[in-house]
Amino acid sequence: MHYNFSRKRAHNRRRICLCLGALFILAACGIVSKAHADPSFVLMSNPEALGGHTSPGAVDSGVDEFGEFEEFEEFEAESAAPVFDPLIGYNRTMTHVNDRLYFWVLKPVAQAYGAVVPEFARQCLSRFFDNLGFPVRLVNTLFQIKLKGAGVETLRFGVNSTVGIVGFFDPAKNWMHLSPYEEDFGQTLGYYGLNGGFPLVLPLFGPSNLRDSLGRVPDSYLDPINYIPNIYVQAGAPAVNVVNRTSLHIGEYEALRKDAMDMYILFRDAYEQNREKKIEE
Amino acid sequence: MRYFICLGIVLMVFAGLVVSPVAADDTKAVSQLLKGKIDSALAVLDNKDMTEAEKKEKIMSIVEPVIDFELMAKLTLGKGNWIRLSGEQQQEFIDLFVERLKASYLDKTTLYSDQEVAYHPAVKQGSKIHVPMDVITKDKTAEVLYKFYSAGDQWRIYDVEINGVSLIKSYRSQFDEILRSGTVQDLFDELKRPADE
Repeated sequence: MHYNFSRKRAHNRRRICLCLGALFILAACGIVSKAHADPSFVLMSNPEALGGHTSPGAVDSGVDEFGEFEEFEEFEAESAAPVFDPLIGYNRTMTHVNDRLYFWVLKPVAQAYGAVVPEFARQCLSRFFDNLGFPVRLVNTLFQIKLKGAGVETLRFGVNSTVGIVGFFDPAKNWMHLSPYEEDFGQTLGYYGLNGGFPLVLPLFGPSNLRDSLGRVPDSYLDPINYIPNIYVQAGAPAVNVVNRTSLHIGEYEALRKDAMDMYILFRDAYEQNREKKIEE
Repeated sequence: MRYFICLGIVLMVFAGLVVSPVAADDTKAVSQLLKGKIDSALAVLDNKDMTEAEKKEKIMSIVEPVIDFELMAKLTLGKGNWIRLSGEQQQEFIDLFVERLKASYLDKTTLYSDQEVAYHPAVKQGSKIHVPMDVITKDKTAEVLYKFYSAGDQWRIYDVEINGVSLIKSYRSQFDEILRSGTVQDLFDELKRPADE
């Protein structure tokens, strides 16, 4: 009894430390993003960054061309200030490492696995893992007070776990036209106005930013797999999930990469645009 | 004088009444236009008798009239960078970029053969018309948004968004980065470099 109690206390203490640490970094993230959004900060570091100066060639160009750009000014704001990216050197290296890991390890493994396991079974497994993401999605819809989303998620989980045979099938979507609400803690923080901070490429997981990387910590507490008291399952299940999913999407990463002139910049920009849209929804 | 002002106001109100139903019809017309193009492109993709190269050629001939590749080239570079190029360089940039963009578009289109498209109603955004749709493949759904602008007597595409990622914006950020640290020649070299595997 006594033993259990002290172990629980130690566990709680560890949790509190983790939370405090996360809060501290989040506060720092808020300050950094604020400094980034403040134009005077940008002005201080680089007076030309706001694009206030005109090039000598500007005078020669016809007025017509300006009109064309003015009509599509939705894109002009984009290049006004350069992206705040203090870890760009590390980020570039890690993008390259992840890229090699994909071609040397993940892709061959996924292809071999795909050759053995039929596509139908792989799709079932992929849906099974999606269904396990229910607690993360539910809690984050509630954090953002999206009650309809919470209802839809609960209904989806109930239907797919029973009629859909532990989530191997998705009758909620196919028969009831209920699509999942993809919410996570990074989006919850964004919903309450926190900026990404700065870009951060994670080993194995790929492009992210400070906010979303930290958001993974509370989300991991909501992952049912982490509550299975077997270290092999805890480590193995995510690995199987990644290999299985990759086997269903061979060729997509390659196609995106082929378009890139600067791979890191493309991934960084695409990630931010995609997250912005998800937070908006 | 007052008569003319009154007449002017009446005419303007009248014009407003006449124009707005036309504008509403525009969104429908654009949706129809896009749906027609996508349906014929999907039909080509499903055609078992054509080779990959033939399919690509056919699809390009279907979509080319509605996509303003040259405008897209300019927009990806942005006004700030565009005016730094000489007339000759501007033309070279357009040629290089359009070729690259077409190849990339065809690669993406032919990647998914078994796709299904669910259309949503077109939305008017200022003078532009956005057509959202869901493209459903094997195990996931992509939200695709085609953006049209009025080019005189017809509507043409100037940007495409996939899951919120704008094609123009993602090229723009790369060009900005290349031109920030390098020269126009560096940019051309990058554009000419064959895509590696």
